[in-house]
Amino acid sequence: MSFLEIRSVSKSYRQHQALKEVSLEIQRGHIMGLLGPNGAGKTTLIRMINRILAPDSGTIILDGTELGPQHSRRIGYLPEERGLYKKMKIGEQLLYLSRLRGMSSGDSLNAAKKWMTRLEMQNWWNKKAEELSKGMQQKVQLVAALMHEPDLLILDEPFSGFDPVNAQILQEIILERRAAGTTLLISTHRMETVEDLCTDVVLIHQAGVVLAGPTQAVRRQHSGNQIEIHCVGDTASPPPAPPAHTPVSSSSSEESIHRLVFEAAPSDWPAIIAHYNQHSRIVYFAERLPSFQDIFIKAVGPHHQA
Amino acid sequence: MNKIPLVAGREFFTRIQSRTFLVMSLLGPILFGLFILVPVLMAQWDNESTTVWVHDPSGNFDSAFANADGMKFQKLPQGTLSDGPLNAKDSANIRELLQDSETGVLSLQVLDSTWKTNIAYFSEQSAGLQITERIEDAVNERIYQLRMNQYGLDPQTIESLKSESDLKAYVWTEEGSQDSHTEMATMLGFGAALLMYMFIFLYGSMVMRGVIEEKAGRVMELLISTTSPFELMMGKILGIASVGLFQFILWILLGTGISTLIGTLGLTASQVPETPGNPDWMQMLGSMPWESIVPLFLFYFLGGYFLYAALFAAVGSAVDSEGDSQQLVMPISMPIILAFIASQFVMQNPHGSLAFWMSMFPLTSPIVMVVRLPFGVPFWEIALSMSLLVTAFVGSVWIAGRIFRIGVLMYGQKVSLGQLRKWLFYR
Repeated sequence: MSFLEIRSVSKSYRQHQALKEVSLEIQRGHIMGLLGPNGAGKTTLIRMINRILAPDSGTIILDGTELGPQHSRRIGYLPEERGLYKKMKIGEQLLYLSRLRGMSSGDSLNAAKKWMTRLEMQNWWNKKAEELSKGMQQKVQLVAALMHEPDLLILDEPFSGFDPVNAQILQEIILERRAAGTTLLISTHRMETVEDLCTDVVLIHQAGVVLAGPTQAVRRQHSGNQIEIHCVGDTASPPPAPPAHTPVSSSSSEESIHRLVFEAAPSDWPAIIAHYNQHSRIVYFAERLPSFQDIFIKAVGPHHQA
Repeated sequence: MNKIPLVAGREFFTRIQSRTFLVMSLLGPILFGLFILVPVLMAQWDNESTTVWVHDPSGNFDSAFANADGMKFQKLPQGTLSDGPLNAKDSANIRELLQDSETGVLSLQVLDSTWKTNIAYFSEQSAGLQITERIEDAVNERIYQLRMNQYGLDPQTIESLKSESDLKAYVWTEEGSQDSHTEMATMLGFGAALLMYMFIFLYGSMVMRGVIEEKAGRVMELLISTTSPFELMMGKILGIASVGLFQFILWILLGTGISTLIGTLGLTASQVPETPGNPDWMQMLGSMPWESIVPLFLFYFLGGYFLYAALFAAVGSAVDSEGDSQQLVMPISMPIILAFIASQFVMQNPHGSLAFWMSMFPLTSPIVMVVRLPFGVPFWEIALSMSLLVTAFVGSVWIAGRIFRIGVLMYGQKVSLGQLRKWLFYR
């Protein structure tokens, strides 16, 4: 049974339909990447899971029960709108926010100290938010999302605004949380995040789900049956092409390494490999999967105005 | 519901720890004292050195004017102005005299044997009411004396004929008659109305600013993902109400402390003018029906505050910055201001129909009813007004809650009243 299940949820504002019959599921312990051009309805979906907005129709099921106020304790949220109380001390803000999530004051205090140490911000307790840089404030907000060790962690553009060092720490934390059994939903425009981190992916466009599934499966679906072969031959030019197949592209390096790309049905792949094995030495062979950048643009349309 | 105390607690503790709160708590009583003292002092300093040249050809008014309260009267040397009606040459002379600043010229022309007198006063700036009244009074008093002399009457006998009786008003009740303490009731009612007015504006707008701060600082999204908008709004309203009450208590304590201090330093006797002939204040204070008035005051205080604070919260949620709030605050502040203005008339006629209707209408009743209470209000009127206020409070919280829930997520829109009405019926 999936941990988070969204069943044909719709939501519209005055003249504008934000989500139309959207359904998706996330398995426990998975990391789902939520993709989509600006204005596709991602924020609306995230707000509904956080119970900020109510769906016009459809239901959201979390861990077997319909979403309700009792789930606040189990959800952690890093909104895209980063904000803190400017004049309030960091420590006090964290205590307040985690207590709003339903933690006891003792637990909050321990958790705040633990996570502030983990993110190397143990000296910030008495600092006011207005004294911190934007990236530093983002770390505080991240702690607020993590402190109560939620079962479902929703991160909206978590990497934007972080320097490479903090981005690395964040990535470690995401994987660590996943290992601890947390389910994650990450909304992002950074495709490498999806490729590196996400086990599953869903792409929302024009209020509906355009594609969804496990990351590798989605890439394979869009592969276009391309394979790439690198082989080393005796000559400066590549070996002759196998009968009935012409490479889509071909290039040769100075060391006589030839890179060849074929578009062929998987059933033809063994023949192509056998051909090159005979005429040269294969040093690299792989199915050529498209990047999420390509998939995204193909699905949304290259002329889409973001 | 269980998060309301948490939200209220944050509002209370962060606010009372702020520097503004400390400064306001200390300055409040001082400012309030100055508020009362300054007009008194200013009135004394004002017109400090007005010199009035008195042109009195008949010589009858020599003794009429006394130098006091910053007015100095000097006899104009004989022949400066003509004895008869003033002519063009006199005008030039008067203009000459008025060259000095803070100078006036008073011309007294006795017209006939009954001492009918033309009084003319010339000055550079138009003469204030204080000056004209004093001169009129002095001249009339002198003419009165002159006429008494003419008829051979003894001034002392005349003085002894005057009567100065005070009316004492009583309220007829089941237990017999009681003093109605009109003056006391007026002061008490007006004081309470003033406090009420201040409380609604000071702390109601604090609620509004608090909401705007959370919205502008973008904490709102995080807050409403953990709390329902209703809890957030109620927590804020309650927290700030406690801040207000706490501040008022501090002010009362500090104010009492300061006045006791002044009292022990012995300043009271010499500085504050005694009011002889006034009834015993302590006795009157003691005889007010406090046990029924105080709880009712508190009820209207909190009821009025909650009613308005909810509306202020709704406005705060609908705008992005304080500057944008003006046009939406206007419709809310109108009834408060109206009620406060009306309360001056209500004091004079606490049982009239204006007083009755405005003490029933929930948006004005907290201020108007508070003015009426010390005069004694029939039970059924209080009960009706209270239940209307409670109903309106529930209604305003409902309305504000609906607007709040939508408003906090809206950014970058200029919101009109029409839009707010639409938000009420959103899902």
